[in-house]
Amino acid sequence: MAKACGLLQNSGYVLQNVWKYNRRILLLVSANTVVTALSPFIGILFPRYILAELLAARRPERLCLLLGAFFLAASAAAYAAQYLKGVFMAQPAKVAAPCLDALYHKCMDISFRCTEDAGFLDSVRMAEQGGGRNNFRGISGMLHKWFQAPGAVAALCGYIAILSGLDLSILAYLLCAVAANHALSLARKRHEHRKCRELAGEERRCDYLYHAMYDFSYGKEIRLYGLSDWLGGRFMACRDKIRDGKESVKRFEMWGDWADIFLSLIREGVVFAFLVAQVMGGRMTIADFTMYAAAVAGFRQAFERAAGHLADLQGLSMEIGDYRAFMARPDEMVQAGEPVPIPPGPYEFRFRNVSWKYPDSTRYVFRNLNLTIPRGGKLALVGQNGAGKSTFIKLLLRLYDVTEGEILCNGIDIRRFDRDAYYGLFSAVFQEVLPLGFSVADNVGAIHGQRIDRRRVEHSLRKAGLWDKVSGLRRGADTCVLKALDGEGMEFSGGEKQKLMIARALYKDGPVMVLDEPTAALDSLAEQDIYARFHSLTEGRTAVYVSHRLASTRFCDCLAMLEEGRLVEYGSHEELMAQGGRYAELFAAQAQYYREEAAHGKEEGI
Amino acid sequence: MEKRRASEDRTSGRRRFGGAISENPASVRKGTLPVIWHFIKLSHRIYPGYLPLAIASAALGAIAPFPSIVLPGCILDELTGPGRRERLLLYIAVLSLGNAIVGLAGSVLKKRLRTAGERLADGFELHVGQHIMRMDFGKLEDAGILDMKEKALFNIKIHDALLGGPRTMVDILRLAITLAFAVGMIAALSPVLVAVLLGLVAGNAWVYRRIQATKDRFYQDIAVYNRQFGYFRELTQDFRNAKDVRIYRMSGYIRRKIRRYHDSANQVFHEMFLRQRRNDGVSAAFIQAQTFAAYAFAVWGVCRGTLMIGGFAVQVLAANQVSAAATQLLAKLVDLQMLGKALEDYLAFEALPEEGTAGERAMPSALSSVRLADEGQEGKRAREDMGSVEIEFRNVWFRYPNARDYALKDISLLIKSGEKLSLVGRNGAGKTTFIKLLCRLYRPQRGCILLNGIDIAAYQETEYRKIMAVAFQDFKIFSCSVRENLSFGEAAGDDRVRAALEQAGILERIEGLPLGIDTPLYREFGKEGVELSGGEMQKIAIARVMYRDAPLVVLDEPTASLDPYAEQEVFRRFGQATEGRTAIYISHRLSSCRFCDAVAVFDQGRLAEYGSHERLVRDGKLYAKMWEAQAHFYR
Repeated sequence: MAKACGLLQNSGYVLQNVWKYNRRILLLVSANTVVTALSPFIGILFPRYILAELLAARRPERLCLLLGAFFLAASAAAYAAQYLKGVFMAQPAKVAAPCLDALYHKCMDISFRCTEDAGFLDSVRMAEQGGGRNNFRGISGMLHKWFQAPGAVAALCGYIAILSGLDLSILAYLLCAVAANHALSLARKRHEHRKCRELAGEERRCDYLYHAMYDFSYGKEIRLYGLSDWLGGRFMACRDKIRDGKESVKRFEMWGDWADIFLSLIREGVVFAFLVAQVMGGRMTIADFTMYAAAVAGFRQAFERAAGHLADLQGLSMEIGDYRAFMARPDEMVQAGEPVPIPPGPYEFRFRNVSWKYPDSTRYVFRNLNLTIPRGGKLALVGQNGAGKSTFIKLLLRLYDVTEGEILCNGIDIRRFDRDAYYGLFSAVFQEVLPLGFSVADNVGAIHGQRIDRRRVEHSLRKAGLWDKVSGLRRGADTCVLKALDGEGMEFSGGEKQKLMIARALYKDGPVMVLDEPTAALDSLAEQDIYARFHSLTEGRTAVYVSHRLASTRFCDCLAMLEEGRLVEYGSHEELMAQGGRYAELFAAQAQYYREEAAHGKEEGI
Repeated sequence: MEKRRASEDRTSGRRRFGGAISENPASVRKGTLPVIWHFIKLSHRIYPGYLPLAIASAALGAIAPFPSIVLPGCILDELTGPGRRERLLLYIAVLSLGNAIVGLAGSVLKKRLRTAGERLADGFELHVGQHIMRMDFGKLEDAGILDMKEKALFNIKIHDALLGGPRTMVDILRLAITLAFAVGMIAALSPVLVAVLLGLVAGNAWVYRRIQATKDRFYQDIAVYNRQFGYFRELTQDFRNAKDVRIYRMSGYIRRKIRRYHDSANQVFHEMFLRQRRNDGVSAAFIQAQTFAAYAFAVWGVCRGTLMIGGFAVQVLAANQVSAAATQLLAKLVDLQMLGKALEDYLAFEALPEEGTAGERAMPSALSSVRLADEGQEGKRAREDMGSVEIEFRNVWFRYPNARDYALKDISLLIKSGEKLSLVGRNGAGKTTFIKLLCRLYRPQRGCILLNGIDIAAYQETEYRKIMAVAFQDFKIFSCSVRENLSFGEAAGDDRVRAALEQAGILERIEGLPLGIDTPLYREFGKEGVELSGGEMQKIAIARVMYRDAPLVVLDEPTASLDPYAEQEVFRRFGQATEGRTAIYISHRLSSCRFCDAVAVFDQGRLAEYGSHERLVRDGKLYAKMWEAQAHFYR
């Protein structure tokens, strides 16, 4: 559908948005069109009359009048043009902003699976460009062109009108030259756009390497392993490839220049010769000769300007096409029918014959998984790396949809709920700790879209065991996290950040708690601290806990051991230990180093 | 295209992302000319092909306008005068052919100059990147330096600095030549006109300066907003945040932030242009006044009889050229001045010291040959020629730059050659700082660190680092193949890579991938890349250490995201892999202390306890408490 969007459709699309968000633009465009269309003729007509007067009577009052009028008209037009520009400049952003807003909404709303696609980020970047993130690209860019292009086209028409008084064959030649030049520059734009697409992957690679070189966080590895030459070499190799790739664009551009030079060679030669012949034949006055000579030169400029604007419009239209294509991108997760309201808690989740694989893969991560998280119960999920624990969590949270089978929440297929409402059920703490560069209070409370309840923020921080630290800071809960936006921002330690994330989960107060490896980076006392809070954290909630530290599983009512996407054991810690199966084995692997009797068998470890 | 557009936007005063100009106390060079001269020299060093091309193109550009100024006058004179046909033809031929030749040469030069400019810009990014990668490590963790870097790079980007300097100089050269010619053409006829024109141009330059100053203030204001916007939009797209964004329904919050950004940025933008439009208008009127003066003088000349009609045309055209060239010239000079000021930030950044110059001492051959030893041949070196590495911290005190408290206080610790030491302590106790000092990423303020009895500061930096292999807690895996993540471009035999992966317990998984050890990690680079799990990434980091085959091995939290079996595997192999080596092991899972020779417990920067696991458990202090916190679950 993106392909079908030509310049006209995209212009229509932009017009709709202008109508919706900022109609003033249309007024300004009209005014500017009049001014820019008229101003070149001031510089052509006045000199003609001045010269005519000089060649004839040379009346001083006439000459003064002409000169004065010339100056006033030209100054007024120039001033008006600048004035209008000043008013206009900030207008396009007012149309682009809501378009970008819609884009960002889509970015954050599209199903999680899409964001993992290698191409996703590229398409977002291109769509942003199309939406006018930069004031002179995409939608904003098109509006800027609208401001300039009609005036330029009108001026061109004015020149054509003047030149049509000369000779039609000359005019025809000039028009053909215009068309040829325009076609060429269009082809160039298209070529350039295609090249840019081709090189997008290389650009991304380059961006990555640039980032690796410039970002301080890679500093340790770079120094210890002496990587500066290696990284630098790869970066330059990448850039060389891009430069070589764009060589053809530049060649294209140069050919365009040559064609233009050739056309103007003929024009200057033939047209001047024609004009000279006319004067010699007495069919033209010297004043008209200069006017036409100026008009021919001006015609060329006016045409270049108009054609340039048109070609730019084409390019911008392609960018807008990228934007529209992204906005029209179908979501992988579709709501099946009218959403069902979320039933009241407490909640039970049942995985029924669930299979799942990546869409472009053949390897199933899960095959016919059957597993129940009992109503209000606490489930510990254990297993080796790669057993599918993280995927299980993603399926439960409906970040992924099952490939086959179904997941039931209190007996209802979770796909029948409104996705956003379903997300509302969960308070999740993930393995990757990603606080945002806003205030502590915002991190904990503001992100749900409602007003922050400061009391509740404090309560959550207290419960997560971070309040003492936060209240001791100069700006308390208003302290900025990270230094990304605030130079005085606070860099919390790993354990503190983890607690911040827990406070966020508590603030949200979802009836289902999901904890995915929350203590991996914590020291043993901090870990114990969190364990000690586990009961109060999950009180009255259904909870799922994933951890490699098997001690934690003791708090859970039941545990599920996954192995290569299959449920191999299910039961309480005591039951499974008594059973002496896979879980008992895993537990023993970790426990052996903590047991006294192993103290003497030190060689075992070496 | 991108670059050209950027510079177009700048020259027409429409750029959106502006540069803050700030006074910089650390500035090395002051004044416009020395700064620009520095950049011209730098550009010549980075890519010598650029300057000659730029000068050639300036020379061509300087003469380009003249056929169109001189010849129309000749034609007019011939027409109003004798009207010789062959003369007229000659003039027309010279005019059109002259323009065509200049145009052709110009387009060829333009293309080559663009490529050269891109090469130079790329080379410059590499130059700055290399500087960052070689800068003294301590600077990297200093928030002030981070700010300084961003400001410097920001100004560089905005002003297209490296190209901007030479380009502006070359433009000035071109305009000066054109101006000189044009003035020469009319000065003889009407010196007063020249004076009037130059006076008007000077007035215009004054307005232009005001325009630029307003703009610069604006960029300063807008820079803050743009930085925020950059952060916000990253949040909307970064897949790492995607889970949090959805589950915590942050969309509304982030969009509100972005909307607020748009409103405030647009307000600033709008106000700037409202202020600007008057200046721009006055400036435009000044230019019309110059045209008016040119016509008025020419008309006066014709009336007095000192000018023919051809001369009239030439004078008008030449006068226009004078005012155009002079206006641009002054604008360029103002730009140059602004550029010089903006680049001072960068120069201060560039002047930050690079590391690696401190010690001169080479490694003893047994140690320094470590990496060279098995280049080409596979397998490990025999254990006996692994050099002895004994590390001693002697009363080491260390405080991070700008920090109030010492991170390490009076640490004295001996790590004997071949010993396995476990470092234990709460988050923030100083364990990782200890490692950073050992790696010579920082230097202690007091005390010293000895390698085999010699201060480590005495060794050449790169030499010293070759004896150690370190996996940091916050290790970075690069977006490149598994093989490259281990060997970093060194010609690496498959067997050596496989052996290291095997030791880290991840060989099977990697071999199972379609591209084996050449599989790219992370999917940013394309569809064939793989996203490994956190635990698997950790194993890659361990494999990287194993690959190095160094006599000193440091593992900082290597098993945090590993499952119990994998952890057990690492523990078991750790013994094998570090046999005959000195090893330091940091872990919050205290079970790891069981297989180390000694345990050093850090508490708030001090070495609180030291001894074997058994002894420390018996002592019943901090270590015993930490041990008990974990161990009681397993009984």
